[in-house]
Amino acid sequence: MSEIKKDLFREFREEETIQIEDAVEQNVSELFKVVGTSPENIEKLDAVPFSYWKITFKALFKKPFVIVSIVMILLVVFFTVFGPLINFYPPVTGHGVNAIQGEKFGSSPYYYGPNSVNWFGVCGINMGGWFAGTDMWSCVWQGARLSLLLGVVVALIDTVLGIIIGAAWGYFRWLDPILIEFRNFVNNIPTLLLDILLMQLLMKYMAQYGFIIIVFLLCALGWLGLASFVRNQIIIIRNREYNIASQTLGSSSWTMISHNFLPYLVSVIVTVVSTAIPSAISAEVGLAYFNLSFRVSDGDITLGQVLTQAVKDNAWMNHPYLLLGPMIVMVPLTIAFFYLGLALSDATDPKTHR
Amino acid sequence: MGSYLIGYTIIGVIVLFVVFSILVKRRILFGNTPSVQKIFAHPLLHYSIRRIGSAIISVTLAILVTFFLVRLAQPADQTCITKFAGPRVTPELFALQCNAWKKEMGFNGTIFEQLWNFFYSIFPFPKTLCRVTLDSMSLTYTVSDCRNFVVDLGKITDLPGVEDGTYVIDYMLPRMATSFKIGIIAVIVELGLGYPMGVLMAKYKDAIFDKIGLAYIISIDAIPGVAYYYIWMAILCGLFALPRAYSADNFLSWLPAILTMGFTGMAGIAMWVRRFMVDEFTSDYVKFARAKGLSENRIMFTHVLRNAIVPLVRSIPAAIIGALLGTYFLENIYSINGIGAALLVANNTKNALLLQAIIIISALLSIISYLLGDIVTAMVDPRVSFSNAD
Repeated sequence: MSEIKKDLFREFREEETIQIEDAVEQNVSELFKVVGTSPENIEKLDAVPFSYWKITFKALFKKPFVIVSIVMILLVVFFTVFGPLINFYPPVTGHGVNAIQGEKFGSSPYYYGPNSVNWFGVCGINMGGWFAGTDMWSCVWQGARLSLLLGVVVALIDTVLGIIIGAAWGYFRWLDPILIEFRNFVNNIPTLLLDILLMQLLMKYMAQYGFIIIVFLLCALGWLGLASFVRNQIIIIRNREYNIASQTLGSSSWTMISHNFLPYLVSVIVTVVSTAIPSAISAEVGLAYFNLSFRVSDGDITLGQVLTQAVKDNAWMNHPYLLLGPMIVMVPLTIAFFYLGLALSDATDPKTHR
Repeated sequence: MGSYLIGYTIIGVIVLFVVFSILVKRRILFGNTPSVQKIFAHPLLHYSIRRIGSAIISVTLAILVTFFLVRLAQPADQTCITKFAGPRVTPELFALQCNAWKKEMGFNGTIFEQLWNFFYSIFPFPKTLCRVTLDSMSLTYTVSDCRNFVVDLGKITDLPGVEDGTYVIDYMLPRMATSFKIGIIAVIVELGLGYPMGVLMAKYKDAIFDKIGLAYIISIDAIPGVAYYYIWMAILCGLFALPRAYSADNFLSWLPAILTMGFTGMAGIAMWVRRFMVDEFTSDYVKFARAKGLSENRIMFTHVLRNAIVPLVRSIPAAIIGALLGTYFLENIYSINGIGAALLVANNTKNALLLQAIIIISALLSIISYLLGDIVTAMVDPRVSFSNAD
């Protein structure tokens, strides 16, 4: 098989050479035409102008699942804003079912599954405090609102801190031993234990500064991952020729970091920002499971609390809708953000641009 | 007295050994004796000494932070008041009781004395501890139940269901054993499933199995842990009707926790195996092997896999030692009476002393596991240079 192929190839090459030789022998003026000069076209580029972000987005939207995840995120954002309005029972005051369907809830004494009014069912009696008997749909979207806000704020703070500290860490050599020792220390203590200890200190301020405290707990160590990643990348490129040249020509530290290092790291940064949102949401779920999150009695609901309350006493084994309600929002939301982050990391990498 | 002597001897021998080997390495002693140089100036030995040195710094830092946070979160005087004060307690009795309690718990003296005592108690060196109780009628201290310890993690107070003054070690060890029993089987499941999955994904890259595997890995990374554990619980306990609550003598009831742990950990291992193998596939020695006409399977299993496994060896000691600590969430979900459950108790009862003990145990274990990981990597990988590692 392959020998036949080789023969064909050789014949083709020979034919081609003969053709070219013939063409050269022919009159050259038949092949080329003089067009003359035109002053208007001197400045015009025939090549398509290169735009980094244009190519990035083109590469991004090539993947069909990216569009699916964007739609999913938009859908969740839409419902967190308008969800409780569609089927409005303010969780803290309304107790939708108690007010409207008290009779029905009474007929099936403790658990009441999805129906035309309570689309996700009703929070069961196993869920503590005022949760019992509240419309699950309202609870879930109210929770998603705070979780999403928390995720975005934490992701932003983590990114800003991570980039600034990571850049300084990579650039200034004297910082290295200090921060490496700090990283070892953080790696050696499970974050959850540190959070529990910090929470014992901060518990009394929860009612006033709840949001700030939770953001602090989630951010306290979250920036470290990005910072040490940025540091590693900067150490790799620190001694490349263009950076040494720039330094020799007298660039200040700020110029070096902002003009030489950070543009190189755009792809990394974009990825981390978009994966930081789902990880912050997940981290809050973990905190809520250990009662370290907002206190429901203050009127702050998060997805983590809804889930933690719903799975109490394993009641969901007999009434699966309790688990399904929070899951239907949480799982697609985090997966969509995470997938979008991975897709962005591929798309923003200049090495994949053609 | 005997245990003290043994302790002094062991520590003396260790210090002498380290000093001697450093002197030999610097060629101050036995600089020209190759046989001594070969043993005491071995690069692996000095690498380990350097690593242990930096580990001691980290653990000191961790202990310092825990020490101050615990004392900030639970001031000793405050605890004294809630513990001993009452209408029928005279100030003298209160002071005596409070002092006895403080002394027993290590809250007596200035903050520097406390810190010194704290470090002394954690330092692995034999020490005798006794229970001090105050008889409120005759106002005399009685000392009882003296025991020798190597590492003293303090005592427990104010924990429901546990007698005041129980040693933390006594409380922790059976829990650790439970956690370890479950965790070690989970690690075996994890490694046993993770490696083949990674290898298969790398071998059939971009095929359907690879895509399913990647989707699984992404979803494990993305979905919040608690939610994910409950999905598995729904599958294992709902669909396969495995028991929901752990009981020590029924192996079936161990399975849900083990499988959930194994299926979660498997994703991380598979991801790294796949990544390393895919990276290795483009390297020159693989092209060379292929050019020489080796079969794809031979290249895969004898050449690529061996190289790709080296970076993963580092995580194995951490996985095994981490099994001692259990998983905080799963142990609570399946009501396994391990360290994770103790943590929940400590959190719910706001017991800072128990929390302190758990943190120190995890810090010590985690430092040991990192240390072992580095040393094992250095031993397995011939490319690691000892001269300036770290």
